[in-house]
Parts: sequence; C-alpha cells; structure tokens
Amino acid sequence: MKLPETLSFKDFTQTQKDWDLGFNFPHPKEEFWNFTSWKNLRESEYAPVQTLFLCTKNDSTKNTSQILICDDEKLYDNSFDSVEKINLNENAQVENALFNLDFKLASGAKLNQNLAFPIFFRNLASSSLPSLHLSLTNKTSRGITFDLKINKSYFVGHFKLDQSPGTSSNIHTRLDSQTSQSFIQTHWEFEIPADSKFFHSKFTTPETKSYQEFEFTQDSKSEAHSLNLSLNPQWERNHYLFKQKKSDSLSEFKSLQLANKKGFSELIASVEHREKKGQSDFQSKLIATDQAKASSRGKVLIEPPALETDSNQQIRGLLLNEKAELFVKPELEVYADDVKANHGAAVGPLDLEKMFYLMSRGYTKPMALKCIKEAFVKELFSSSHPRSEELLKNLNLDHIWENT
Amino acid sequence: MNLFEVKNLSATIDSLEVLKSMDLKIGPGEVHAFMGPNGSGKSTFSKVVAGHPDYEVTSGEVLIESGFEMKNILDLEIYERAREGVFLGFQYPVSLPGLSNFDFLHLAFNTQCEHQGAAVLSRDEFETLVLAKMKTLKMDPYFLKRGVNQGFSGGEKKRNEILQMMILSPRLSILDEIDSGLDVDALQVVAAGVNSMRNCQHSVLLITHYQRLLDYIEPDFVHIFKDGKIVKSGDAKLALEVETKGYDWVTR
Repeated sequence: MKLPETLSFKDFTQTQKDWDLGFNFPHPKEEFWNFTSWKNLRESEYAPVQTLFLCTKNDSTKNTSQILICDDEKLYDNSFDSVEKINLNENAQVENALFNLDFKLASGAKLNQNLAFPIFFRNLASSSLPSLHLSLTNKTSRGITFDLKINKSYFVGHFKLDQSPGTSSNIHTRLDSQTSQSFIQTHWEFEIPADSKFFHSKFTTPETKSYQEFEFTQDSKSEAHSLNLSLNPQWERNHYLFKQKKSDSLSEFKSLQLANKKGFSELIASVEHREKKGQSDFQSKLIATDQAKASSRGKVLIEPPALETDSNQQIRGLLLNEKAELFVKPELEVYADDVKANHGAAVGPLDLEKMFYLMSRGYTKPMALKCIKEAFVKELFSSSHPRSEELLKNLNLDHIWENT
Repeated sequence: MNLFEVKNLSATIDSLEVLKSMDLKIGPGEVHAFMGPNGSGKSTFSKVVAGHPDYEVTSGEVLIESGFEMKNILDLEIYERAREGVFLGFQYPVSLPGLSNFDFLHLAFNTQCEHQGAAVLSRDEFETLVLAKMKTLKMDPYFLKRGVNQGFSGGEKKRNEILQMMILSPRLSILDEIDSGLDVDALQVVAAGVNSMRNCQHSVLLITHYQRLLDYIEPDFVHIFKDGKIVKSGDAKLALEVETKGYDWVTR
C-alpha cells in the first residue's frame, strides 16, 4: 500500500466515528495503516523520510554514536548497527529499514539509566510522512529512554524490544509533538522472556496529539510493570495489551490521565491471562476539567487454562468541572473457575468532606484543593516501579494544576 | 473572662432547624461534656462551630477569646477558625491516600506557626517534635509514612486525631465521640493524651455517649443535649445519673 504524496493532519480529521463515546477518531486506521502486528507493518508500509536523526548515547563510556539520514540513499531491507551513519536526500525513501541496535556489553560493564535515544525529525515539510521502524535487542541493559520530539507533520513509529531471559530492563518513552499540527502514532512491542522483569514508563507532554499502542508479551514467571502518564493532551489514545502466555506471570499497570481545555484522552488497557497462576493489577486514575473528556476502559480476560489467576482492576475519576466528562468501564471475561477478579470504578467530584477536614486543620481552600489533587495523583506512585519517584518529581504538579 | 461562648445560636440544614437558641460558656482550662440521645444535635453543634458549609447559622454568636477580647468566629472561614484555635476531633476522620501523615501534619503545624508569627520548623525539627508526641500516644512512627488515616483502624484514627490536637495546640478542642471504637487500652491512651493538654490555655468539649470516657477524663461540667439545645447542665455526677437512669428522666 502506498501513501498519498501529500498528507497532512487535517486529512485525518472528522472522517470516521471510532469512539464509543461518539467522538471522531481523527485517523481512519483501517484505511491507511494496520498496526495489528509488527509483521504486517514491515511488509506493507513505507514512507518518505526527509531528515531522520537517530542518536545513541551511552554516558557510561562517554561515547556517542549516531545514525543520520540526510543524503542520497535508497534503503531497502537494510540493517544497521548502532554506529552506522545513514544518509538520504530529501526525496529519498526508506522502505522496511530495520535498525538492529544490539548492545554488546563486556562482562562487568555498567549500564544504568544513562542510555538514551533522542530521536528528532527536523526540517520536515508539512507534507512529509516520516516513519521509523526500530528493533532493539536488549541483552543486558537496565535503563533506556526513548525521547521522541516531532516537529511538524505526522509521525509513525514502530518499535520492538527483545530482552534476554533472566534480565531486568527499564524502558521510558517520552513523546512530544512540538507543534499543533503534529500527530504521532507509535506501536511498541515488548517481549518479556521467562524469569525476567520489565519496567516501562510512558510520558506524553501537554498539547500532544497521538495514538500509541503498547503490547507486552510475557513468558513464564515474568513481570511487566508499566506506568502511563498523559498530561493534558490535545488528543490522545493509548492502547495497552498485556499477554500472559505462560504461567506465573505478573502484569502491573498504573495510569494517570489529566485532561483540560477541550482535550481528549482515552485509555484502553487489557490483560489476557492464558495460563495458570497469573497476576495482574491495573490502577487507572483520571482527572478532567474545563470541557475536557477522558475515558478509561479496562479489560481482564481469563481463559479456561488460567486457573488460580489473581487480578485486580480499579478505575477512579475526579471531575473538577461541570462541563468535563469522564467515561470509565472495567470489563471482565472469565472462563475459568477458581480465580480472583476484583474490579471497581468510581467517578465523582471533589470530596467536600476532605476539603472540610483539611481546612479544619488550618489549610486554606487552595491549599486543601492542591493537597487533595496531589494525593489523588501520588497514590499511584507508591508502587515499586523504579521510575515512579523520578516521574512524579518531573511531573511538576504545580504547573499542571495551574492549567487544570 | 471565658475562653469560649455561644450565645443564642440557631442553625439549619436544608431548612430544618437543628440548633435552637443555644447558649454555652466554657472557661479557660475547663472540660465540658455533651451527652444526649442520638440525633439530638451534639455533632451538629461541633460542625457548626468548625464552619461546615452544609449548615446555615440563622442567629447567634460563637465567640472565642483572642487577645483578651471575645471574637465572633461565625464570619470566619473554616481555616480561619482553626487558626483562631478551634480544633474539631472528628468522629469519622476521612482518609487521604497519597498524602503522607507527616506532610499533612507538618504543613498544618507550620501554617499555624506562621499565623501566630512563630518560626516554622524544618522537616527534621518537626520530626523530633512529632515523634515525642507519638510516644505519648504509643503510636508507631510508621504511621507518619502512611497516607492520612489510610488503612488505619478505628482506634488508630482516633489516636491520630489526638496527635493532631497535640501538635496544633488549639485553644478549644471539640472531640466528637473520640471514644467510639476504642478498646480499653486505647481509651486510656487517648484519655492520657487529652489530659496531658489540660491547662489554662486549652479547654475541651467532649461529645460522648458513655460514662466510661469520663472515668478517664473528668469533666468540670456535663450538659445534656436534646432537640438541638442544652436541656440540663451539671457537674460530673450528672453523667453518672444518665448512665443509670437514661435520658428520659432529664427531659420528662
């Protein structure tokens, strides 16, 4: 399938009702893209890239390596090591380019939370449609940050991470669409092998427009921990899927969605328990104000072999304005006996009894309001996720509350 | 001069009159006890004094001594009343998961310090202070790290209320059924905390159903509350009489 030569964000708007809430999904994905699998994407998609700057940086060795696409080249089914430099001109096309970044660290080498992939798309014309397919084999890493900054246009990213068995990885993705015209669409796949721990966190900056899919496939006795932070997006949809293919897996998911102005934020989080003794814990919190709309849907599927599953999903919403809207829906599909499947959902305005309690201790109204909102948020961050404290610190809640 | 006075106080909720021309005087250092049947308005009175927004005061004054003058607090916001020295110990304290008990207490304490023109305390300085108070109440320091009242048992919540009272050093403490849900040991600890605060700068109004609290905190005056007003007042013996005779004989 070929893409139109010129494509801008407005082409995607108001074309298809894709929301349960009746909102128009600005991207008719059936028409242009199929993100259902990594394989489909690789076989069917290509896109012109004008300037792609992919930089790998490892602070522990002080070496910086780069992949740069900016001159004449036509790439087809190529693979590049992390130190390769790739040049393309402005009319070049990248087709099925696969960047295999395989970090081979010597025994004893330390790779803490210092490895970063700042990926910039620069000087993009409004008609350009950059995409990036990245496959990363992660054998020993502990901390990797993907920092995507998109300037103009529509961006599509497709990422796949394989992790070696018995390791512990930590991936952080940060999306920043730097102009109001930008739209980011990404698909992430994470394979978590047996006896491994995987920590993932995702942060989207305010005013972003994006659609992101995260898929976690878990082997036996693996742990997947994920944090989702959506801060006042203009338009955002996040789709998380945890597949517990083997027994004794643990999936932990925590999400915070803040929506203000006329923003829209949607979360769909699902876990599939396919084998016995799986555990899952989903906690989703939403705060909406102004005329914003936000939704959170959780789905727990427990298949017949998944005996002794222990799952929990809780959704809590806080409405700060009469015109704001929240939609929450925990779902259960249980086909096995002898399982635990706790679920709950609650949406409400600010608890005035909490306000009264704090004010009776000398807190002014703004102080009490701030404390209640922060408490609502901070409760999510009491987990053992290694990024939890850092993310909370970086959230700059004061600034967020000013806009909420 | 009294420390606290209520004059002709009437209040409504949803147009229903719940306090009816109530009068009360509490001297410095005195301990008063409110007793009365369920629904008589005892807790309502405490909320009206603290400024709960559900209630509308239709007449009267609530005065507290401030700088050798009696100041009407009815025009003040909830937090201003607290800063003037009114403390309400809740019957059912709310929980605030996500806000640590330490941060909650520290901010409340420093806010009070600022209001009184005193120096605020750093986290370390405040920790020293609060740990000493917790020792009196036999509270585990771990409760400082937990969310406010999050997962606390009934007794732990009540101890936490008394801890807040001891930290904030109010002028008047209204303790609403601080004895409910407490076992005998916890009751003694809570009572010891209240008794440790008995001094001429601090008065206490206990709201209770049972004599047993008054065995540990001896009141100077006991008032029987019924239909939104005080119908009988006396000394500590009045509570003993109620214990044996019930409330009917008071209003008959």
